[in-house]
Amino acid sequence: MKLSRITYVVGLALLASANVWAQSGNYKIIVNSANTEESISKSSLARIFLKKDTRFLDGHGASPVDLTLNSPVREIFSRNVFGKSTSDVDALWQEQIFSGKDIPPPQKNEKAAIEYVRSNANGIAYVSADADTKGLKVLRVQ
Amino acid sequence: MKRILIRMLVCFACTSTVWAQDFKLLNQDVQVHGFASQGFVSTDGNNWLTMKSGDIGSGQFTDFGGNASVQITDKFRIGAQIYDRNLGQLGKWHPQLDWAEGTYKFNSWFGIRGGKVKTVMGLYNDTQDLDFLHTFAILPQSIYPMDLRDVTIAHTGGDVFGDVSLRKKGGTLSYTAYVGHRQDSPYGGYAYLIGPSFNRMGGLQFGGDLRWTTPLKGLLVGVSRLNENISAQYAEGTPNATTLKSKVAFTNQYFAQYKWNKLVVDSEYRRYDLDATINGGPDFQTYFRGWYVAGSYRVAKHVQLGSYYSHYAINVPVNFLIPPGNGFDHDKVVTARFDINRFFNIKVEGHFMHGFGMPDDYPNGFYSVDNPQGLKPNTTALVVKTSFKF
Repeated sequence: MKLSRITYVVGLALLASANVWAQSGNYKIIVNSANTEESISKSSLARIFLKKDTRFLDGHGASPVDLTLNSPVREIFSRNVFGKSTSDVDALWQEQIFSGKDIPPPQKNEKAAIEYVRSNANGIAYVSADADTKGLKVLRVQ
Repeated sequence: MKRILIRMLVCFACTSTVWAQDFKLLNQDVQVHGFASQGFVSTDGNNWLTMKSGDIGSGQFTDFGGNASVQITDKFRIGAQIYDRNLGQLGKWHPQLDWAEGTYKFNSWFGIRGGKVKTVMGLYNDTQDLDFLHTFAILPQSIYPMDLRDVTIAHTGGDVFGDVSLRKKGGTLSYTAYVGHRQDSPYGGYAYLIGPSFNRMGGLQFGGDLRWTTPLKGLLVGVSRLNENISAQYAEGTPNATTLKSKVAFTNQYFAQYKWNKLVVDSEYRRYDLDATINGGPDFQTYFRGWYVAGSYRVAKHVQLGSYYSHYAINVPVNFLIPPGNGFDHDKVVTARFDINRFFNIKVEGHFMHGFGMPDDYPNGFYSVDNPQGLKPNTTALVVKTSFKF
C-alpha cells in the first residue's frame, strides 16, 4: 500500500512537472490580471500567436506580442509550441506580410512585452521563466 | 538607381541588426517592411527575357518594394505595397501599386478582403516577386513567367477566404474565392510582343483556390482555377485598329508540395486555354501547357542547394494575323543559395534551356523582335542574384 502511494505521488509529480516545464527554466505565458483563464493548450497558443484566433476559449480577446527574432526565449517558445524554429516561423510571416495577407504580432524586448501585457487587458506574451511579472497572471501550459 | 541599391545591399550584408520599422500613427502601430533584389544574367544567345546576351551579362534585373500595414482592430487590417522593377526591356522603372487592401476576418474560417489584392494561385503566384522567400533566383518560367507577371499577379476586386479544420485526422482546407479586374502594364510581355501599337489589355477575372494541408505532416496539395473575360486593343485610331476579345479563357493549376526536415519538393501543372475573336470576326486560339518538378535541400545552416526541370508547350492552331504553329521550352536548373544573414542572401544559378516557345505568338521568354536573325535552339544562362528584406 505504502509503495503504491509513493508511486502515485511520484507519478503525479512527474505529470505536474510536464505541465510546468514550460514555466521552469524556459519560458512562461503571461496575461493581464483581468484575464479569467488559468491554463492554455499549446494548440491554442499556436493559433493565437499565428493570429488564427483572436479570442481565448472563454471569449476574452487575445492580443499577442512576440519577442524579437534573436531572442533565445523566442526560439524555445517557437520550437515548443509551433514545432519550428524562429526563422521558419518568420519565413511564414514574410510570405503573409509581402503578399498582403497578414502582419505578425508586434515584436518587443522582454521588458516592453511585460509592460504591453500589463497595460493591455487582452495582452498575452511569453517571457523567460525568471522574469519579474508581478501583478500579471501566469497561465499553465497544457 | 542601381548604384544606390548596390550600396544598400552591401550595407545590409554587413549588418545583422536591421529589422522591420514600427512606428505610431494616430495611436496605431504601423509596420513597415521592404525588400530589393539585384541580378546579373549572362546568356550565350537569344536575349532571354529581353536581357542582352553576352559574356558580361545584363544587370537589367532589379526590383524593389515597400509596404506599410496597420492592425486597426483585432479583426480589421489595412495596408499597401509599392513595387518597381526593371527586367531587360520590361518594367523600365515604372513603379506601381502592388497591393492595397482592407481585410476583415470574422473568424478563422471566413474573412473578406477588398482593394487591389494579390491573387492566390498555385504555390508561389502571390509571392513570385519576393526573391528572399525562394531557393531559386528565377522561378520555373513554365508556371511563373516573369514577362507575364501582370496576367495573374493581382486583381482589383474582392476575396473571401478562410481555413476549415477537418479535425485531427483530416488536416485543414484553405479556400480563396475572388472576383476582380486585371489591367496589364504597358511595360509587360504582351505589350512588348505587340509593340508600340499596344494600347491596353485586361478585363474581368474570377476564380478560386483550394488547398489541403493533409494529415501527412509536410504534404500540401491544391488546385486553382482562373476564369477571364478579357480584351486587348492596339493600333487604336488607325486603319489597323484591332480588338481581341476572349470567348473562352481559363487557367487550371494543380500543385503539390512536400516538406520533410531540410528537404522541399514541389510540383505544379498549368493549363491555359484562350479562344478569342479578332475585331469580332476570325478566331484566335492559344493553348498553353506547363509543368515543373523542383527539389531543394539545406545542406548547411546558411547553404541551400536546389534543382528543377521546367517544361512548357504552346499550340496556336488558329491565328488570323500570323501563321499558326507550336513551340516548346525545356529548362534544367541548378542553384546554390547562401544566406549571409537573416536579411541578405546570394544565389548562383545555371539554366540549360532547349527550345524557345513561339517568339512571334506568345510572350514567354523569347522574342523575335530581340532576335531578328532568328533564335538558336539552345540557351544557357548563368544567373547571380542578391536580395535583402527588412
